Amino acid sequence: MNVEFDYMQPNSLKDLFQLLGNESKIIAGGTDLIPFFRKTETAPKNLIDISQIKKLNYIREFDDEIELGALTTFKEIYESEIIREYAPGLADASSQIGSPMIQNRATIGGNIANASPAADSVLPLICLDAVLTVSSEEGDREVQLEDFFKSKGVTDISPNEIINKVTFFKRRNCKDFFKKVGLRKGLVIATASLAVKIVLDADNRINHVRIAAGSVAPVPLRCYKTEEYLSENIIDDQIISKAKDILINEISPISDLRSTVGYRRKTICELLSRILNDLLLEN
Amino acid sequence: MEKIKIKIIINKEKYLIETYPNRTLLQLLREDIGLTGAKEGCGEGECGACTVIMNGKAVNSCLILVGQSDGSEIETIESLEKNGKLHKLQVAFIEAGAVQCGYCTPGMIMSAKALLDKNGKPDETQIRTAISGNLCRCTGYVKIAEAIKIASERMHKL
Repeated sequence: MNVEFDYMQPNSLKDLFQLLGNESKIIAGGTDLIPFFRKTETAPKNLIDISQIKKLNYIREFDDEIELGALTTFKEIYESEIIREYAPGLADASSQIGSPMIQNRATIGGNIANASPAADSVLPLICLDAVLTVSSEEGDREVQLEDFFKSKGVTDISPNEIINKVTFFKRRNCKDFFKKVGLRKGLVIATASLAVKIVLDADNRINHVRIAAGSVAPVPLRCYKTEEYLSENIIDDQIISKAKDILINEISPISDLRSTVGYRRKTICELLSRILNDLLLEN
Repeated sequence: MEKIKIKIIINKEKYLIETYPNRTLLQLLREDIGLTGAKEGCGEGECGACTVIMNGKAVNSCLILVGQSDGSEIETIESLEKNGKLHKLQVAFIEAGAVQCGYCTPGMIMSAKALLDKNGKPDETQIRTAISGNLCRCTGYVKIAEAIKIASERMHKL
C-alpha cells in the first residue's frame, strides 16, 4: 500500500490503552480501513492492530441479556445458536454483510466504529435497544447505540477510548426482521435497509415496536415517529399506508452513486410495507 | 516506518519474515514468496480474486496486513496440486468448462475448497453463497457451480 505507519499489536487491553491517542488508529478486521487507506492514501502515524486481543472476541449468554465482544466476527454471529434464537434479525443482517470472506474478518465493533449510514448490523442492534460499552484507561462508560452516531463516519468516542462490547436484551415473544435492497445480493452496500422488531398482543395489536432505517439519513436512523404511530394499532392496509407516509417524512436520504432520493424514499416505504404484510400473513 | 517480524505457515512451509507493515498478505504471497496464483483484482475486497484460506477460513488476502497474518496458517491455490496430480476441484473446473479467462479461478477454487472442507455435501444455495464474494465476468457462474457440485460428489465418494 502507498501509505506508511508504525504498526503495533497489543495483546491485552492494558497494553492497548497505553498506545491510544490522537496519532493512533485502531484496526480490527480491516475490511473497511484498508480500502480507505488505499483510496485516500492517508494513514495514521500509529496503526494499532487489536485483532490479537482474544478477550474481545466472545458471545456470552446471561439470563436476560446477550453480550458481544467488539471483535466478534459476522460469521461467528450468524452461526451462533444463541443469536439465531434471541436476535434473528441480527443473524440475518450479519449473513448479508459483504461476502463470506468479509464475514470471516469483519467485526461487530468495526461495523459500529465505521459509522456508515448503511451499516447492516447496526439496524437490528438499534431495534434491540443495544447498549455499547466504551472503555478507556479510566474505566467503562455505557452509551445507547442509537445515540453513538453523530454524523456519517463520526461517533461519540474519543481517541483514548475503544468499543469494548455490545449488550442487548434477549428478544422474547416478538418478531424481528431485516431487509436490505441493493443492486445485487453479494457484496452490496445497501441502497436502503430496514430493521423492525415488533411485539403483538393476543388481538394482533402492536404492543411494542422498534424501527431502524439504513442509507436514508446521515446516520443509521431510529424512526420514532413511525414507531409511535404504529404502537397500539392493529395492522391493516390503511395503517400500513399511513405508516409509510410518516416514515417518508422522517428520513432524509440523499442522491449519490448508489441511488437517488426518490428511489430511496420509495424503497424504504416498500420495505416497511413488505415487513408488515409478512407479519399479517404469519398471523 | 519500522519493519516487523512475522512467523507464518504457507502451504505447510514455515517462514520467518521481516518486512514493512504496510504490505498486505497478497503482496507477501506474490512478491516475497513468489506464489502468484492469488491475484489482485480490485484491491478492496469486492472481487475475490485474491482469496486464500487462512486458519481454515476463506479471506481476501488484499485486505489483510502482513502483521495480521502473524502466526497463521495459509493455504493458496498452489497447495492443491500434489506430485503432478490435480485436486478434484481443479479437475472438475476443467471438465465442466468452468475456466474461461481464468483470472477468478484461483479465488473461486479456494472459496470452494473452504466450503467443501467444512461441508462435504453442499446444496446449490450453499455453493452459490460460498462463491458470492468471487466475481467472474466470463462464465455466468453456472459452470462454476456445476464444477463445485461435481467435485463435492467425487470427494464424498472417498
